[in-house]
Amino acid sequence: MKRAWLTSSILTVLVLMAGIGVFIYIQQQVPSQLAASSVLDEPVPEEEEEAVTKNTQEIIYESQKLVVQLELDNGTIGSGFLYNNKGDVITNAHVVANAEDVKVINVDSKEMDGKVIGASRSTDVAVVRVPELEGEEPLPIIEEEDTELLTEVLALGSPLGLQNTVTRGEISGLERNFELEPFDYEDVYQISAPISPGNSGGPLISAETGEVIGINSAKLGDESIGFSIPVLDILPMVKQWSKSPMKELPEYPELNAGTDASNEQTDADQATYLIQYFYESVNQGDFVTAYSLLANSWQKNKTFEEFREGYYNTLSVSIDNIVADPEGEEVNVTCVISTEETVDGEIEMKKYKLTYTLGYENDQMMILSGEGEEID
Amino acid sequence: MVICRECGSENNSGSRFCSHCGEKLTEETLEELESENISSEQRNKKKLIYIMPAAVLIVIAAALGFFYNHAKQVNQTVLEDKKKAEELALDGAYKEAEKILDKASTQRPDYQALQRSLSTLHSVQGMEDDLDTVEKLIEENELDKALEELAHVNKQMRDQGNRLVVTLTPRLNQLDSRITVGKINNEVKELTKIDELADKLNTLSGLDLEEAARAREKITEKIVSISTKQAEEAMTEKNYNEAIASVDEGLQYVINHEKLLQLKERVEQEKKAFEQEKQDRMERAMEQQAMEEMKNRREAIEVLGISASKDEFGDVTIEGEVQSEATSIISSIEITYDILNEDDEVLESDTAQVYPMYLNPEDKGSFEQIYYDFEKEEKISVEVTNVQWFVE
Repeated sequence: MKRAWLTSSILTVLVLMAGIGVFIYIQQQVPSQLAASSVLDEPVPEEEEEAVTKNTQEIIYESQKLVVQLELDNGTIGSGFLYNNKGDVITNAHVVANAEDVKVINVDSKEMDGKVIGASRSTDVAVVRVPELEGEEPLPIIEEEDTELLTEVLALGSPLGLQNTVTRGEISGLERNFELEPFDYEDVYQISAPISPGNSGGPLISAETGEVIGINSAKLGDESIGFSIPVLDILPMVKQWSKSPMKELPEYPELNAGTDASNEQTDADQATYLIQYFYESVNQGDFVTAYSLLANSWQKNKTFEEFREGYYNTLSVSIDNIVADPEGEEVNVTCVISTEETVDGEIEMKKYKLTYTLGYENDQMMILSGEGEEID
Repeated sequence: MVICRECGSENNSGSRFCSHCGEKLTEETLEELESENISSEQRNKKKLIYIMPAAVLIVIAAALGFFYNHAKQVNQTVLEDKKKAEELALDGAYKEAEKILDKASTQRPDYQALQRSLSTLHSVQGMEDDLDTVEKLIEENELDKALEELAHVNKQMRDQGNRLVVTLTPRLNQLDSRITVGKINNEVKELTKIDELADKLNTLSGLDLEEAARAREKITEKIVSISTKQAEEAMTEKNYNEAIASVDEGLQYVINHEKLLQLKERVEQEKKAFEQEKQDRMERAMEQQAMEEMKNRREAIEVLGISASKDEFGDVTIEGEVQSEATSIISSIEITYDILNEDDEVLESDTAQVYPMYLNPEDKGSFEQIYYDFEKEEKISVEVTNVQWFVE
């Protein structure tokens, strides 16, 4: 009997111990079953960027469909490219300057009508809306400005009216600045691909991705240097025009034919010439011409009769000496003149020193004011 | 108690016969039964020895089962809490997430993931505080400091680069935009050129913020006022094309602005009026010049008087005076006249030079000629037949 009790007790203790063991085991094992890691601590899943590199032939084929030739009634030819799905074509402002209606020709030689809906006075950019191109997928535009030197590029356009010409080149300069009246070219790319007049306004495309980088533009001199305006610099402005087309387009009087010649001269030359012309006219007795050289403000204070009276006793005038001195936008001209005047029927020689101020009025150089005194 | 051997029913212990079947209840049976009872008691005692460990086993097994379940349950809750907290944290509710994580970590203090989540949460909360500082700096217009601080936070975020930190990115970007806008606002005050302002417009166009919209409005207002001012200045200098260019430049950024369009129209009208006025004036001048020229050629000289007189020696003097009515100098004036006798017969035609040689407008000149051959004539008269002059 006693033995049995002993066995029983031992068993009980064993069972208890086993229980405690299992308890401890559970206590330790179960919490460590929590295997899920901290989500918050996970690194951000990286989006895999697919670098789409298309083959150049594909790019050219795809892009050409969206490059158009622009033609004005006066014969001006340029290029442009579709940039949104409203049928809006970006081109150079100088291509469509002073025009509203533009003939647009696509790669299939289909002619369409376009209207200029926006143009800049200061940057050589304009937008032409072509209703027939509405809904057409536009050319992709680069998203970030990270163009580097020697990036392989393609210039598309219609140089000299030869449609769909592709020129390969590379970016050969960054941040070029120059002025070509009336436009400022700021931070533009210099490209090794030559740009001729008909090419102007065409897109500069990355040869790797087919995205538009710039708008091909002016050419300086006869060398084959092309320039391209970075598209991202002008995109916000251009988008505004597409959103609300201009009711009235800017004017470019300086781009009208025939006004270039006067620009070749410096203001000082122009002023000297004008004063000489003035005295020549006086000498000839052509007071109307002389009077016409005076600025509006002077004319208002001095009628033709009064002006004329000042020369009643002047027999002849000649300029001995003339010096032009530009000052700001104006030019001061100092001259010494000899006159023959009649006093009491006798001819007297006199000398005067005169100072004139000349400046532009309504785009014409005029004599703004003048004063002088006799010298002995 | 006696049990009948026959039918097995129970009878009171003093009974002799079974109350159920009537069989005789013998002593033997009683005895037998009693001895049986004893042996079962002994067996029961034996069983009892083993019942104790068994019972303990059962109780412990039950307790362990319960405990196991409980532990599992706690695991489950902790996991659920963790998930919930993480979701909350990723949604930006850092405080609540922290509370839940704290609770969970007291339940499972050794669960590393909880600790990591908590520490991540704490560092992100610290960054959030930093962003609050940035915001305060922005409100105080301490933009450079704000930008510095923001760059600092940005660097921290980059270094950690976990999923929670990324939830701060929108706020970071927003603050960055606000700094940009604030800087532009500060700069705009000093900008006086349209293209510089337009540059700022370009920068703003990428920002989708209320402040950006307001800044844009301010800039466009300024562009309008600058272009108006420039145009008006150019107009007073009569440089109308320059004025139009100024307006056009403004219009390219502030498209179809009513006031600018009106101004453009006004400039165009004034230009036209100016050109018309000028043309009128020149036309008048030309007409006058033509008329004067005609006069200078045809009737520049008025003969004020001419007379012939005879002195006591019989010499005849012809003298006269002329005045210039021309508007320019005339010279070499010659007066041709006839000398007549009393019968109005022409005795002689002659020409006299006026002295001085040059006559200014309105000046007078005279001429004189003496004749010695007319002694016989009683009465001499003179008549101008022609006047000649040069217009200088």
